[in-house]
Amino acid sequence: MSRMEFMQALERALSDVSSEEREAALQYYNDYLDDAGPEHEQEILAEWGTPWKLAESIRSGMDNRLDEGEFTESGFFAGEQRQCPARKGSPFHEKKKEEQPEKEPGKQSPNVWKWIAIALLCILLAPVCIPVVLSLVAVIVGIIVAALAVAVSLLIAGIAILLAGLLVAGVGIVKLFAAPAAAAVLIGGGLLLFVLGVLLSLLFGWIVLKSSVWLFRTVVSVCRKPFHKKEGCR
Amino acid sequence: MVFNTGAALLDAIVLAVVSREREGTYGYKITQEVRGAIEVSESTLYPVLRRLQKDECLEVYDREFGGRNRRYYKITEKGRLQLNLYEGEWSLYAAKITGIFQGGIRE
Repeated sequence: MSRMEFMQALERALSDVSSEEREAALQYYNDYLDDAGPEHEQEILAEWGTPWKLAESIRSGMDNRLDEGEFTESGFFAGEQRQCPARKGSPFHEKKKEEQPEKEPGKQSPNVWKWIAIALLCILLAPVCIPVVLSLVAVIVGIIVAALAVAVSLLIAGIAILLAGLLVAGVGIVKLFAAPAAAAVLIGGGLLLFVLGVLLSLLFGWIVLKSSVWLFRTVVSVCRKPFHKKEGCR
Repeated sequence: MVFNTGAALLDAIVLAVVSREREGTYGYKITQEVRGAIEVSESTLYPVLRRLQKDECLEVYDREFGGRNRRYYKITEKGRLQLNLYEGEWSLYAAKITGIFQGGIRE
């Protein structure tokens, strides 16, 4: 079908609509073919389908029948739900007015109340909570420091016993020829004390070292905890 | 395309395309530009343009071009307001869908 035949058939197919509508449609589709150029003419006519089909799609856009259908890329589908925001009093406008006041207080007020409650609780409990938490922290720190101090003093005691053992053994060696029997006792006792001192200082040295490392790590991780927690929430 | 374009979205796309031309633009060009975004047939847009014109979102005028009168479509003030509304609604909608795709909305 040539362009001329197609347009004449389209005009006839639109004979039942007002002349204004018919003129507008014919103007549009003539313009369309002119602007596409003669090289695309047949391709476009083929896509339009028959003049009667095209007339039907033109008619469907003329009145409020559009409200019952939906445009998709593949054309117009009647009978599906459709919203026309452009029209006054359309479902789109009414819905917006109805939804907003309903939604916002319903969504916001629980949050607002929650935060107010948390703030009030913080203010009311602060005089009680802050001293309790502070004293708990102080007690824990005190216990840790005391335990560490005991371990350190035992380490020092071990070192002292070690030194004392060395001294006694040394005195024994000096007195070896003057009083051999007493010297033997002194050397033996001194060496025993020395060994005991070595054992004690090794044991408590190990304990002090390990617990200092543990303490350092714990303090660091406690300080970092709040930041880690926030990152986890994001 | 996998997703259907509803009438409201089609209206929005057409209004956006027309609004980009201050002097107005014509049917064939509008169709080609809309086709840059979604698949529409060569005949889909006439009813849409006609309706937008009746709703006073678009106005038409004829201008001489190459020895003939070409019909131009131009956005009206009302059409611009409507387009703003559509754009706002679209960004909300797109953000929600994207939020769900990217692992759900967390409160």
